[in-house]
Amino acid sequence: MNSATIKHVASRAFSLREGESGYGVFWPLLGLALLAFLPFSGLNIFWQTQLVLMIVYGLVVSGVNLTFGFAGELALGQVAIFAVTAYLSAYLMTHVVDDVIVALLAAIVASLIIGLFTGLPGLRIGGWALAMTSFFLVILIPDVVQMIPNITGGAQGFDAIPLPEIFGVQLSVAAMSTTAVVVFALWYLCFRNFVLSRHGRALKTLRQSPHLTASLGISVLRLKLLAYVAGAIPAGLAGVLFAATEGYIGPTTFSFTLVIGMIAGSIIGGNDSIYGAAVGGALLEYINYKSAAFSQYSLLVYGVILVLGGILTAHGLAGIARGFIARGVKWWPASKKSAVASTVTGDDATTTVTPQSASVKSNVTAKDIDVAIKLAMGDDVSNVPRPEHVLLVDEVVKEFGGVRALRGVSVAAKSGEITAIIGPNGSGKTTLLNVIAGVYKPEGGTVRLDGETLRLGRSHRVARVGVARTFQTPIIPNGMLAWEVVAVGRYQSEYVSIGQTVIRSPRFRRIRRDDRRLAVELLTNLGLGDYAYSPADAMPLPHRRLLEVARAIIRRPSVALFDEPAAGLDEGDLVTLVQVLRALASAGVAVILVEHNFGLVVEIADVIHVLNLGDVITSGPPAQIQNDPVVASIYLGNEPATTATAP
Amino acid sequence: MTTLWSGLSLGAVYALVALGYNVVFISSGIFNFAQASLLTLGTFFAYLGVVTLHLNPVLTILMATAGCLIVGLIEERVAIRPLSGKLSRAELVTTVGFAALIEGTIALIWGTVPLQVPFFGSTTVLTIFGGRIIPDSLVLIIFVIVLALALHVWYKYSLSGLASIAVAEDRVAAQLRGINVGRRSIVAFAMGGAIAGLAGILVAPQTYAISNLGDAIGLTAFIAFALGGTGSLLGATIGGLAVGIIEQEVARYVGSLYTNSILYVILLFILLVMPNGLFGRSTVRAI
Amino acid sequence: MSDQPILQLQNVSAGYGDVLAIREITLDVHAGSVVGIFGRNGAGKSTTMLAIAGVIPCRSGSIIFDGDDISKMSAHQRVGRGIGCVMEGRRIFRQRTVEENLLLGTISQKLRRSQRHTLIDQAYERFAILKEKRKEAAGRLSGGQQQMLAIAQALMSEPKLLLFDEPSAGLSPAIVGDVLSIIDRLKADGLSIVLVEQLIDRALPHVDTFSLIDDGRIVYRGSPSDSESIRVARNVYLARASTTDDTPPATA
Repeated sequence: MNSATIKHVASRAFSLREGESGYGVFWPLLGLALLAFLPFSGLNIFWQTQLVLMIVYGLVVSGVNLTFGFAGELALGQVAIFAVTAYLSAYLMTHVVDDVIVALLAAIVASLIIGLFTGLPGLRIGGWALAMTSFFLVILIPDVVQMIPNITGGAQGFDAIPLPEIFGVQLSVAAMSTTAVVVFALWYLCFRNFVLSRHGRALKTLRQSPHLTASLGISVLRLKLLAYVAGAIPAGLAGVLFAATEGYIGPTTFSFTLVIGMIAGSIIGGNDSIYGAAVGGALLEYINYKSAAFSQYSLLVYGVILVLGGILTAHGLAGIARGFIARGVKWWPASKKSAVASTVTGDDATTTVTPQSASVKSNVTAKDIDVAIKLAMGDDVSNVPRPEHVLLVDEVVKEFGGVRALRGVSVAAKSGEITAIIGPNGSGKTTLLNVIAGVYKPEGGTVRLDGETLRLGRSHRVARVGVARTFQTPIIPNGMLAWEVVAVGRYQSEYVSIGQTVIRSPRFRRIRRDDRRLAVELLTNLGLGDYAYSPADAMPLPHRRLLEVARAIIRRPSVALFDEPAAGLDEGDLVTLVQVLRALASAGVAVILVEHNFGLVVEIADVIHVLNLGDVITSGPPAQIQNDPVVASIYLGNEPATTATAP
Repeated sequence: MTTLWSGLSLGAVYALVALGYNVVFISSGIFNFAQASLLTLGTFFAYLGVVTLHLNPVLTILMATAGCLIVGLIEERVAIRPLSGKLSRAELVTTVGFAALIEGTIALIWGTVPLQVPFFGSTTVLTIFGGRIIPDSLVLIIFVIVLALALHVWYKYSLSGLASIAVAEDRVAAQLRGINVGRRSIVAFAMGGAIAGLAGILVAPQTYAISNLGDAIGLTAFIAFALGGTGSLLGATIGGLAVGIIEQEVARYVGSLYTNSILYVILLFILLVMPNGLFGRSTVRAI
Repeated sequence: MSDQPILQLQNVSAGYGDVLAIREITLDVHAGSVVGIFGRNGAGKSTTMLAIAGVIPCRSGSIIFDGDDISKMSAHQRVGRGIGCVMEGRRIFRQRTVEENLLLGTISQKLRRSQRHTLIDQAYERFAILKEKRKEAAGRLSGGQQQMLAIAQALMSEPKLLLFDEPSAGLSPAIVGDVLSIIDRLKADGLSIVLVEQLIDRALPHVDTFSLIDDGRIVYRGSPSDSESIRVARNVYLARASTTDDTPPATA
């Protein structure tokens, strides 16, 4: 370790600005350390207990943040898990062993199990039906409690829960508060490390579009489950702290009002903010405390928060508040590409670096792009023979409600070639693309890549086998920088486990470096270097298209499907697109293009397949297609026989 | 048989809320979580009319219907329209928030102690088909069935109703035919409120006026909604009555502690195995 | 008075999200005429139609209909003003009966029940097949019958201007012929029509003038009588350089 590294690590750790690795860890930990000593510095018992309660709610809210804020699923089983672990630890501490560490460990195990059990069916349902089912769990709590009154104390509640010991040493109320702070600090570290990583990016991608996520090879169900189970853990920890501190728990503690309060706390704190949970939790407890005399008020306050918050979130305004806050904390000047990550991750568009060039075309040549793509695809620039890929679509039939969109379509695409699929409206070309991408399962026929039949209907499996795709309208997640959007392409192929992510293992660090390096490199070589650290969703359309392409390239696909990539691009952007497509083909990818733009297709395609009303009418090279009277008749509407061909 | 009657009268309440869910859902594609809270409000209006102001039943019904209708309109204006079609998750949050607002306001004005509301008609227990039932419950059951039929007729035979269904089927096509889609949504919320208010005087004697009545009823009514199939009025009615009967039978033979758990299992089963419910059509899919 | 166009698009740009699908479109439709908008798919024809109908807003420019600026009006208001629309893919209400579909078409007018049914009877006279199938679910009709229903439904609002969005899409050539004949009859009845169509060769004989859209802009205006028009159009469609010599087809 030389001094430069130490300085670098130190400056990152001490940084106040949120960067790719988040706010430096130092200041928050310092704050938490101070908080840990607070109970011993003269705080009276009432406030010591309040502190624990704020932490308890903060933990539960951070669980909601993970599922709702990050993954976008309103699954609210956290209160149920909170209740279960509260009762579990009450029982353990009273009847088995009065040790807080044992209780915490038991709570984690219980949360994981319950999380899995309630998550698996629930997440298959999705949407608001899922929310309703998870609300229902709260109603079940009093019932279940009264079913086993011997264990739970029934309707009267579980009384006289002792303050726990730790390794045999009895904890006082003050020490219990400190323990709560320590538990929160440990959770905060894990949560932060989990969210500020490629997993957090994958979750944001999921929130934006499950389709996109699947097309990157990521199993949507598995990711949702991950977020849900991860969100169960803090709720479980909260249950232990709650039972130990309050000394009493009863079925009425875990009410519907609490669930609503949790959602409110999550919204207030900022759904996908790391610190928001703490803020939200503190506020929840404050509202509780203030409205102890007037408990009706808390519902009203929650109601207002939910209505306003829901409206603001729908319009994407929730991030604006955070933008204002972030701008106020601009203390650490740094250049945009230095190792001290400087730009704000999130919605603060005002710190966007303004690029020197307004469009991509002035920066790079075709040769640059060619080299860039070959590099990204893992080749050296010499002409080493690379594997040949062949995609065979064989007699695919696809019906939608009795209407045959594809009537037995067969096409082929090879490495090194650009294959175009064209046809008038209703010809089925987009359906065909979606079948190949695995989104639709056909009623008949197969698609084979290098001899292996693809499992159509499960797009993440098809994506994993080496098929990449872009979308008609680029799908770019909110709240991510351009390079991060591209790097998500590597999430599945270079997978890092949660454990390694949380402890920041050497493998994690290495892959994190590679993620950034490869993404920034690729973007720079494609001429988007100036945007690499800018919020991706604020980029103009041509750049977002290129971003999608970069995201596909970084996956090193065998087959790349492009869904109308030319739409909305002007002359200059089209030039870049052409260069990119050609480079991809020469790098060994089988490029398949569905396009309206006849001029583009004629210019770059090696083979054109013409579809009409679900059938392939003809195939061939551009010159042949352009002069084919049958093709002309499809587009123009005249009968082929009446068209005089050029003499 | 008595259990069956009590199941039907409980189910009638669920059916009421499920009908309310459907009315709003059909015309706007939105699931209104606050529907049950509107019903709660209806019961409090009934209390206000019958107990506090000593109004005759007709006036009470009018007041309750008007009051809940207005609150329904407020909900549309405040919690739905600002969303203008973005992000479907947000609707759940805002309708839950509005439900909390209604419940909080009720608790503020009337407190949280259950309030008794006497039925305006006779209270002598009747014996029908060998089972005992009070007149209030009987009237409620009949009311719900009549309401379902009336709604069915309205949707099928009135131009307004037809337009609402058309909007559910294809919003853009409806606009291009000159249907004011925004107004359909407003009408739907007003209707949801009116249904809640209208029924208040019948439901209140059975459930008492309790501020958090909506929480549990809303969730169980959701089961009825899902069971009956989203978008189906007939389904909502049958679903509601069925759920009520199941609940009372389970309570009688297994124990009232187990009703919610069994209902939960049924809910999961419906959502996982037959998401369109009994009568729903996949074009009006909720999920 | 009849020289004032019934519909004017002035420098209209519109799109979806931040993709501008049409740019600076200027177009006039004179009362009682049939104006064609031709182009390949993806060129912007449907976007133009949706902008006129009010389904998508104009980013810039304005639309004047019958002397009023309707640029800010919502779609259902424009229907009330007299713009009718036959959408691509025959977007009728498939689960409603034929009669219900027609009834819904009358909703923009304040009429008594009996008046509405008079209009419906008129539709039955015009399109006998619809009377036969009046109680059937619209989704059960054949493609061509659905197209008739869509047209009849649009006529229920007694429009002054009718927009046709690719009436040929997904229909067999014979039925396309039927639809085009109906357009001729409607013109004879005094309706103004905008015909958006991809199959230029089929549609050309039925229009008075046309504009060619490529890549979101109008690249050419012409009329059927002008043989140069069709040659230019074919080249634009097939992305050929205009020096390619190509004799126009004999009109079908």
